[in-house]
Amino acid sequence: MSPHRASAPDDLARPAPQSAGRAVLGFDTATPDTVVGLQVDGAAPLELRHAPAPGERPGHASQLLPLARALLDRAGLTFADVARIGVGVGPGTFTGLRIGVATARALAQGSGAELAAVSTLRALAEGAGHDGPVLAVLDARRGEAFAAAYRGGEELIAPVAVRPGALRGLVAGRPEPAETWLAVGNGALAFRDQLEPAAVTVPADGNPCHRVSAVAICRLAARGAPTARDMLVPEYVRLPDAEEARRRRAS
Amino acid sequence: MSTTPDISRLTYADLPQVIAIERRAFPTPWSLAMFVLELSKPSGVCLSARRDGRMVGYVVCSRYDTVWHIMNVAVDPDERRTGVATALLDALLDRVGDRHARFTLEVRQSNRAAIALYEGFGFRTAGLRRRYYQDNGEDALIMWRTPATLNGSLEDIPAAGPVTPSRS
Repeated sequence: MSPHRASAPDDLARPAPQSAGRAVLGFDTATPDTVVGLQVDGAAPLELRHAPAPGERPGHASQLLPLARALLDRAGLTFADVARIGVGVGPGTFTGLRIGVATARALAQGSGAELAAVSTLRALAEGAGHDGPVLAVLDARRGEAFAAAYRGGEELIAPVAVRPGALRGLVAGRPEPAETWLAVGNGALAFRDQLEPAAVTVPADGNPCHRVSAVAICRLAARGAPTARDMLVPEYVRLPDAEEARRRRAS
Repeated sequence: MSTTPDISRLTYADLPQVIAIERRAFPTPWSLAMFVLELSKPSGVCLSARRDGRMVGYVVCSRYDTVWHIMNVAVDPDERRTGVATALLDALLDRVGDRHARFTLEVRQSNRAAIALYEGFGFRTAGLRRRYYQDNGEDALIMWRTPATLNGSLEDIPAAGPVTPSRS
């Protein structure tokens, strides 16, 4: 496979419509990043990302649609050409997930595209490109981490919200030797000091595998069955703060 | 005038020397496990530079999806400005071999020598990661080398900074 479409400059000057290829648009808003990918049969996948600086607010609401439009423009496509929309449904930030899911539903309603829910943790693991078991970890704030484990397409540990101190226990409870594990994601970086003493490898901070890849979202979305529009909901894994407070009062 | 270093593939057996250079070259050095991980990837190109059999530098480059990420370029502090990094990057581009290949890297904004070197290889700055380096909170420049940057444009950069809503 040679990445002609994405890289040939004369090609980009006047993009030809790709009516032959099946276009999958994928995005994820579960982390502070807003990331959008486009996969068209026979062409190199494209990805655009907005990453807020540390301390800066996420740009989900303002960046998602402009990034998607910019990506489609580059490929010479419009929303009407998108056959399927893959959306990272978390777990992750509540506000981000609601923006992502609502946007996907609205786009699908407008264009008739199919929807496919993709676990953000599975996409993170898929993007790592590791043969052994992968622990995908997101910083869930409030002193918690979202974690799940995969090897190839197989789910080893379903998504959970845990204290960082419990991460090594997840790995220790599995038959695969700790040395074969790779931990990725902003949670793996935040809780590196919990994982490395347990012999789990955490790639260097700048490694792209720690960021959710929209190309991985596209790939997983293209592979799976579509999700009905009303069934596309965030996978919160734990209750939103407000809901937890309400239930505490009620009980 | 220093001799051009010999370039060869980085192996696990080289890692003790790699770690020795890494610790002297960077304030936040990679761990041994990080190097083992990158070397174990079939989709990577990792090279060492030697003079008279002694290691003087190395480069670690990994492909994610269709983009080559240059993740670590190190030169022994005693061997800087002697053409080691140039030889490593020359060999890297040669081994990747694809004229459509897209490369990216992050570099400290203050590292003028490195930035000039990358620009000489056709890399162009296409974004900033603010407060990227944890040791001193320095910003990182995001640089790309693609068919477009070689023609003086940023047309095919996958992420040339955030899109401002007003543009849409």
